[in-house]
Amino acid sequence: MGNDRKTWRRKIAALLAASLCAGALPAAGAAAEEDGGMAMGRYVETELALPENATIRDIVRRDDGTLRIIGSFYEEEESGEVRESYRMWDNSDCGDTWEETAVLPEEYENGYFMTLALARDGGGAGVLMEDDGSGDYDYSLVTFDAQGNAQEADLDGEMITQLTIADNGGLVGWASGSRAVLLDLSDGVQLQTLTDGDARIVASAGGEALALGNGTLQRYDAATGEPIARDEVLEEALFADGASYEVTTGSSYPIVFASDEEGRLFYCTSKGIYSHVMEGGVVEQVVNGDLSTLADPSVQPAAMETKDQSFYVLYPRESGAYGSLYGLLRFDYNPDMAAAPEKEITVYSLKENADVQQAAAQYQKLHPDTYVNYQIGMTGTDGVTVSDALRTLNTDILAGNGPDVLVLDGMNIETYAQKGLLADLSGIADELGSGDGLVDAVACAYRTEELLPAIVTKFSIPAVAGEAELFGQTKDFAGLAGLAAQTGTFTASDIAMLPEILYPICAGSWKKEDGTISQEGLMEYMEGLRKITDAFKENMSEDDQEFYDLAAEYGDAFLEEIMAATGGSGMSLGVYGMDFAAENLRLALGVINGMYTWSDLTSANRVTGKCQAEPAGLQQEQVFVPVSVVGVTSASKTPEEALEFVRYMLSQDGQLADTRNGFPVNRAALERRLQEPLFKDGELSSYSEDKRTGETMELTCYWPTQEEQDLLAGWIEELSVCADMDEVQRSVVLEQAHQCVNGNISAEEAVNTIMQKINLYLAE
Amino acid sequence: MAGVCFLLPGLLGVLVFTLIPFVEVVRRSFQSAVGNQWVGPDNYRTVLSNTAFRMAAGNTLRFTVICIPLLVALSLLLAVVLQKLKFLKNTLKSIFLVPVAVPAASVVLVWKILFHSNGLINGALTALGRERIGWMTTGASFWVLVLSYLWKNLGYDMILWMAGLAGIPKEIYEAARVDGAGEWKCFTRITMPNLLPSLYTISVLSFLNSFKVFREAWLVAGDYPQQDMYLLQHLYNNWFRELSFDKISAAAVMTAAVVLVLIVLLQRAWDKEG
Repeated sequence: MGNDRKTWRRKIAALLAASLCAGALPAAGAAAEEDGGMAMGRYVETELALPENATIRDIVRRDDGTLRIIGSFYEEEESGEVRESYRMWDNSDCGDTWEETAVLPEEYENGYFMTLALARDGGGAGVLMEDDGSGDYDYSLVTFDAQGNAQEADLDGEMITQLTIADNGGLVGWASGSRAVLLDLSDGVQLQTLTDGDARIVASAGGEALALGNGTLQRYDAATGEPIARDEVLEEALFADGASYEVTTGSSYPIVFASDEEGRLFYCTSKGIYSHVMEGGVVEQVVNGDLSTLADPSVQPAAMETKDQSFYVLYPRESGAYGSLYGLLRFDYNPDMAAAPEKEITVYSLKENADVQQAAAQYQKLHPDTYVNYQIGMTGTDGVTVSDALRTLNTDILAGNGPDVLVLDGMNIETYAQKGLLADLSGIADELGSGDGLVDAVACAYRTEELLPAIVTKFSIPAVAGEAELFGQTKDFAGLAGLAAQTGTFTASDIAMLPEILYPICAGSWKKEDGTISQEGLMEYMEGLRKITDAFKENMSEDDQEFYDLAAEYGDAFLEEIMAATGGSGMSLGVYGMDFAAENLRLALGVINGMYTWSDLTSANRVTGKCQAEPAGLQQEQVFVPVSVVGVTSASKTPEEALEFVRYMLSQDGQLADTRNGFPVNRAALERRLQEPLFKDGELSSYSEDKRTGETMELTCYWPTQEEQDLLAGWIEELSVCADMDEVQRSVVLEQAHQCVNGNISAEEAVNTIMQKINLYLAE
Repeated sequence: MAGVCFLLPGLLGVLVFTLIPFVEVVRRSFQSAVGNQWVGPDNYRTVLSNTAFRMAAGNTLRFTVICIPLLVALSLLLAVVLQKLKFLKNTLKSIFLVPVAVPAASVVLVWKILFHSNGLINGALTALGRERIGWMTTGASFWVLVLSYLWKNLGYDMILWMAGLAGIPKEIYEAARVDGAGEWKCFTRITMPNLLPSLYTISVLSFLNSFKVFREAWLVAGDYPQQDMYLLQHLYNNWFRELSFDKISAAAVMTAAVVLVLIVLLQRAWDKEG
């Protein structure tokens, strides 16, 4: 009886198991069917033309369905002076052509609108800043109707830098003190403070005013100012993964909002465009930022609008002759486009690389069928070290999931090439050489007898700037120590970062023919650092002491921050432009890492005649620092696409996209970069406080003259030595160098430790 | 059949997670680092002529030869003494076991406080008018590593010995004492022979645990510690970073062979004794 029961139990169990398996089969089949078929439909972006010679500030969908934009219009008068007026343009063909429809009164042409916002009826408001004649500024709220008829109300010294107009006519502003305030659109009177102290961005959606703070989104009725219950689903989505929204420029925002004809809310960030029905349960991504220009780190939206299920994103694109040039992106839903791009290339870099991010965004725009999956090994927020990141990368490579394109910033290119990991890029170099031309000594610095495993795409030049008669003393450590003892030569940041600044012009000389490190060369560097630092410390001012203490207190994090600003190539000399112009500084060491830096130095020289520059040379001369180096992995699953991506990075468009960090290696792009002004003479100025006098320093920038351009071009032609940037060696040397200059260990101890570690590294 | 069924899950686990991957390592040891190019014994030649490998293997061997006998002897001594204690036996047992539970990261913090050039020990030395010692930058680092290993594993081995001691029947000791045997004679003639099976297990476990000391060494000094602390695991770790899968595979095969030979020799030695 007992056995019978057991047998039955077993049979039932087997039957149940079989039915479970059988039940699972059709489900698996259905899933496979779904996977097999390609999901279709996604938003595709188009760049629209905007009126020429205009700087656009806001866009709105009017009640009648047309689109309206507002901004400054520049026209050169016969006298040669540039006249700036504020105008509005309308469009009724989905943003393709713009027709000027209204002009604000001439009386506002002498002032500057800090912010401008449009309403659905075509009117709007702006905060006007005017010089009161005594050097101070008056702020007033200008409201205008659809025809441009305006009225002005004094803001009583209140500074409002953001404005938005809700669908119910409520005018909301962001006022100093992180306050969101409700204003009267008719006369500018401040009705009430909505949020006091925790508003970073104000926006409107439908009839609601939104105040985005630190982890919170406050909602108000924009007409009455009454608070509305928080939308937790939206807040959770907005601040997911620790997201925060800081306003860093006056012309764009990390997040912008809009609402469609049905009142659905949309917001746009670098991650894409998201949709949400207020108080609904879902926030849905409708446009994937990674597949669009929104992923470009240089692109930050200024405003967004929706119309007929399309999105219009306005963004400041680049500096133009009269001010920022704006771009307008339209995202249209294309049902025939695959929901996800059919091809994918993976690009990997150890640290975040703006140049690559820009190239990825632009490449995707040109190749909508390709998704550039940009992976960063060290995000800076997860405590991952270089070694950790490289081991993770190698695990992926070993598993056959390695990247297609490697940005070899700090990686040991020689080792990777020897292992056969990197494909030969000679073809691309030859192709480019016979086309646009290539700065061969720089671009092909890693060429071996067998192959070209990596190409330098951007570079900077270690240089010394200041009084030309001091340059002779910068050629050896003793001379530099002598200079450091004098007042006004070098800054505290120069000295705090001295090991990093001098490393590129020294490290390469320590390598002996057999690949080992010369102890003498290293000792000279270490003792030299110590002498220079000690000489500076003996005479440093209180301000310098403060900076130096800060650097010592925050250590690596502080230095990393400064290094990151120049892509790891050292302190940009451009930051000293004002100090040179104010004659606060006689000499500085750093890098010339782009035309903005070169124009800062040459502009300072126009003021004083004492700001010359020349390439720095110490233990090595004619050195360049590779800012970005790319290679294609030999195991790439999509080698053609990977090569195409590198080709794009080296094309004129790819090379000219990032204007801040690094010179192009494409000759045609380099010539354009030198010759084509990024701003109009006198239109760009930098301001800073003079720590000695407390007064404001100003440096008006001019594009370098032909002579200055030629001087720089001549230096570039002479560059022949690629700075040794192997991250393992560099980190070992710099760690000990900082210990040594801070007086914790002697130069001898530092060198012994380095030698032992580096010899182990090389022996491996 | 029932025995096989019990054995199967464990065997499967060992197969999937150890033996099959090891076969893959053996295959890779005859191939180039990237790609599947057959290079024959070249990788073995490269590794054997590599000075870093020789140094790391030498340090690892030195560490093992010094640490294992010391650990085994000290833990046995402690176990015997504790076994005899009538009071505080359990409390002391717990105290000796605490280091086993301390995470490596915490141990590293203590290391840094104690052995930094401006740490507590150097502070004390300076106060006594003695010169500072570069605990982490001179050969002293090796002895810090030895000390750390002993501190961490003493309690664990002691418990293993105590388990062995508990298995020896008291009647044997009583009979020996009736025959006039003293403490030392009881220890050498009764305790030691009866603990031989435990000695094998404890030696092998101590040997395998000795590889774990790398965690502390790496957390304190990174990829390139003072050269006396540079162990095989440092080298493997760095080779992996440099994509030298060929060299790691060859070195791993050789290390596994040495470990296997040692274990087999130990087993044979104990079997003979038994």
